[in-house]
Amino acid sequence: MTRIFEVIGQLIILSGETLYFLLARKPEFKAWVVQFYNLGVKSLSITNITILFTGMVLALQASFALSNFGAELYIGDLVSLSIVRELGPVLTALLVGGRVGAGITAELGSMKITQQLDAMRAMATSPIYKLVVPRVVACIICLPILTIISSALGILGGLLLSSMELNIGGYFYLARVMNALDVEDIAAGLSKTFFFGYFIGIIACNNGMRVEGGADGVGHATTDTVVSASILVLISDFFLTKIFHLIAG
Amino acid sequence: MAQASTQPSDASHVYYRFENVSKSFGDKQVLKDMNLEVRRGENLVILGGSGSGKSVTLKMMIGLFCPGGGRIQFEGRDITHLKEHEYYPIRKRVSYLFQGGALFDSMNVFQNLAYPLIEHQKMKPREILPLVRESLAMVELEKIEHLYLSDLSGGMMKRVALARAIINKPEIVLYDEPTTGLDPLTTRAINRLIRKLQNELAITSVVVTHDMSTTRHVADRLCFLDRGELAFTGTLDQAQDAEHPTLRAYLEGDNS
Repeated sequence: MTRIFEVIGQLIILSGETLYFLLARKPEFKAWVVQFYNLGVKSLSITNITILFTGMVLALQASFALSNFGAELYIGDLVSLSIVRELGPVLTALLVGGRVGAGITAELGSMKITQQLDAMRAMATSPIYKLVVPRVVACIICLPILTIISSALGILGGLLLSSMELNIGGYFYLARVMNALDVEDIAAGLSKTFFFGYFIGIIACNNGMRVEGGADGVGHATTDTVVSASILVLISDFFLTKIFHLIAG
Repeated sequence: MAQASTQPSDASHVYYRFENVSKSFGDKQVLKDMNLEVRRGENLVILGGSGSGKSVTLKMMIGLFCPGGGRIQFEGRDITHLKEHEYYPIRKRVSYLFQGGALFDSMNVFQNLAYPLIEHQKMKPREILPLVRESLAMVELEKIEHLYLSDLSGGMMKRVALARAIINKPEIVLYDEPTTGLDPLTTRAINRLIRKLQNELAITSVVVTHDMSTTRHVADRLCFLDRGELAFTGTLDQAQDAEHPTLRAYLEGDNS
């Protein structure tokens, strides 16, 4: 239990320092762009393929269930609402948490054990400004963009399955999608991803910068990041959904 | 034997003063009531075995560790418990050569050497290149700016790290085991270089080592640390008369 409070304290302190450097120092856009590419562009394939097929599976499963009620025509409604409000943001966050979170922790962890972080400090520069800020910012900005792209592909997956397997016309499917989705749904799904991105980035950086020992320590920290980020995404998803629901009335 | 320095140390100008400094990690006490001075222009060697607290002493000088007790002064100013950013002015004047080099492995040699110049002097790449070459020449390396660390040998990495440490003309260089794991020729080259930096650039050096050949070549004064306690401070000649058994073992081991 003490360990949990210790980690929460570390995350709050690191968040405060990250915010300070973000607001007080001139942004290093070159470093940001590198991280946008590493964390965002390189995650596109895994998130897109996963959610494309999730959309297809969702449409297939829905067709079995809805056919009992003669409601197959509403597959577009079900797929789009499920993906935009829930599956798109959460699955993208879990995938990015696994790929990017583990990568950040391993990178910073190996820098820590080879004293590269100490070298930055010794040369009067801040590892938080140079390393943490670009990564956390990239996570916060890239996750919503990845979610938008992957959610669109998930809906497309439903469209492909519906038109090829269930003989539902593409225009009709898209009309149901447009009818089912409103701005509130998109906002509810998308707004969560900023928080997910922040959680993934800050946990990964904190674990990386606190690695102790050698390669073994890096391995433990990397696993810890994937587990912690995944759990935090899933738990916070419930509370964020509840809060947005209350706000939307 | 120790080579005579052309830059006499100046006892009236003390860079660092440690007063009863102690440090523990958990239950393990690594330094006990240490009193130490680093004077302008001198080469001070801190000698001792593994785990005797040498590297911890060095890291406390630039605030990578804070003391558990006692006081550290830099030019008369108490720096014992500064905030991270308050160390920056000191770190711009004091360079640190890490034991493993601590070069950035995502960067090539040029980028590693350019790092402190870009960060603090806001120089452009065309202004930096001559300085990088000059600094590499000081450590007897040339035409390796474009190489990555995976292309360098251990000795070359150490020398590149040293080139990075001196590129922004520091007043003090702190060396953490500068010759550990190097072949005798590279060791000799680094020892010569530490002297050269003192003689040509008036750089003050604090060298942490357990290597007697480095001690003999570079030391103006010698501190001997034994299990966290400062057992001896003085010149090499004075050390020959010291009665501390471990220090005697170091000196006699070197002579045998």
